[in-house]
Amino acid sequence: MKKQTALITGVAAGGISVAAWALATGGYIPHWTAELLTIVAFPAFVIFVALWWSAKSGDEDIPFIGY
Amino acid sequence: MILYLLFATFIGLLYHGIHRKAIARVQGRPGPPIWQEILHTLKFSFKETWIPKTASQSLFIAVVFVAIGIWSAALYVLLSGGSLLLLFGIYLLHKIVEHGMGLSSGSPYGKFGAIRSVISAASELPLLVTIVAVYFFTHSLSIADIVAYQEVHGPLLIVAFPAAVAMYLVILSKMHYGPFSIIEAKEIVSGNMTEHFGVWRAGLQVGFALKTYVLLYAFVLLFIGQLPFVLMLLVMLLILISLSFVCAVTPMLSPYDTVTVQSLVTGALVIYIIILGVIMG
Amino acid sequence: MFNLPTGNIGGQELFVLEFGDIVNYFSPYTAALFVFALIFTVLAIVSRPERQVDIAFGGDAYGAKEVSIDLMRFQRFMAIACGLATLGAMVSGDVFNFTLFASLVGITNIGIVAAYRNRHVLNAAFQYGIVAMLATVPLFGGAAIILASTGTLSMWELFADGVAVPIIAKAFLVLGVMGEGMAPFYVAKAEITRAQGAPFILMVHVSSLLLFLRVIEIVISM
Repeated sequence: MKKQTALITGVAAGGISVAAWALATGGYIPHWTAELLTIVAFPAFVIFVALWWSAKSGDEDIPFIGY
Repeated sequence: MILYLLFATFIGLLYHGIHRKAIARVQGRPGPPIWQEILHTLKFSFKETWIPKTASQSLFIAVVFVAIGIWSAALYVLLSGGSLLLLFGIYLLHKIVEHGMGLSSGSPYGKFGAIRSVISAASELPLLVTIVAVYFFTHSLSIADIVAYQEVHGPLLIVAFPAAVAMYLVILSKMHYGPFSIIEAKEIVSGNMTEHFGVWRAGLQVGFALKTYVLLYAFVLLFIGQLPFVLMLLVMLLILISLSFVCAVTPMLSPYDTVTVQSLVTGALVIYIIILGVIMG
Repeated sequence: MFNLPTGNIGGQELFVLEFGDIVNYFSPYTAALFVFALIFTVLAIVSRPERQVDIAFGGDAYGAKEVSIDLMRFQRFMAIACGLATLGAMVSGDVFNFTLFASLVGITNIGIVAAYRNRHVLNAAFQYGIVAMLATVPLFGGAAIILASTGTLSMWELFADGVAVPIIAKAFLVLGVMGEGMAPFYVAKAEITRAQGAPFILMVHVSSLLLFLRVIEIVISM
């Protein structure tokens, strides 16, 4: 997976759960719908954000591997 | 909502760290700093990540998502005062996650961890007995009703003490470094988590942190009642430290002894429930 | 029109699915179990089987076992059938339907294990088969006692306050489910580790655990 894709997915999942919470507080969607959306989005948020920052960007130094 | 989840993850990881620190101090070691588990999770999330060639690919990844998902769901069930039976269901589904985690990698160590996790299915039975005992008193399995019952009749910890002991045992059997944590025993490397490294392990850490938070929260809610938030966290911490003492002074049992102990406790509780049934009609 | 009498156990029903006089229901509890069964059925369909790594005893050599296409196809078919039977059992609103789905889960579980061509695994499968066959007696016996003593098998009526279901029928039902979903028996047999586990053997575990969770709800509600 590309670094960019992981970032977009992670941020989208985070955005969905924040939006669901905002909509539920505003009374636009019922609370259980927001909870359900968050349950689905939260794992995706955690994993994809971690995948994004652990992914190589392609221009690292070659690590020092000893003499 | 997502903020609460992140908060619960953070507190759960902190509790894991305090658990390790307490065990170390009891055993006369300095121990890691209490934020060690938070650092662990971050460290794992920065590591290079891939999927082993022998693994069952989709399942290997999906169990991590499921692990976080079910415990987020459990947290919402608790907070919204849903059904206690649903919480019990999620606790049992965690067994499938453990089992799937070990089986999906193809590694023999993971497989041994998975088989041990199925063997220790006996640890689920005390929770079921707890639920039945609570139902005897409250005549409802809705958590909101149970909390309301305790506001009128006082904490269940006093009237249903054996049930509280059973629930305590259930939490103990899920603690790291405890007498019942045979699935991650060191003779099988890291048990069912052996092959989940990097980001996958970070995800599992998040799921397990939520699990610790939910189980401790559920114990306080079911047997002591609704408390102010800070006091709630403090009582949870006290229970955790008592668990750490148990973990520090008991050696890890062998797999079959684990099953024997848990089955004996279940048997004793079944007798308690039969007596309750006779007394209370 | 429908109103689940035991809203304080698994939550109020969210949605009902009518098949004539058999009314399946989704309460928060049964819906959660249904979704979980669905997730793992989909995983059984899309996952590749694991390639089990074996270490030669007393040496450093190790190798990965290959899985033949035929074996995988058959096991996948059985795992999907098992998943479908579990889905049915999770939301069934009728005790007889539930027992029928439970016995179907038993049959497909044996199928998953017996597909593997290894003497030890086949031995284990044979013994599971005997346990599952024996378990059908208390399973359907429990349903029969419920019908004989109350005159109905619909959970909607059995869950109501006035209906007394004999405790022996409940015990039989639990016993039957424990035998059909063979989790308690299959853990005692280490032979299962000789077969590759994920995702098909996992399905055995998923189905038996979910059946157990459902029968607990039914027994407490009655």
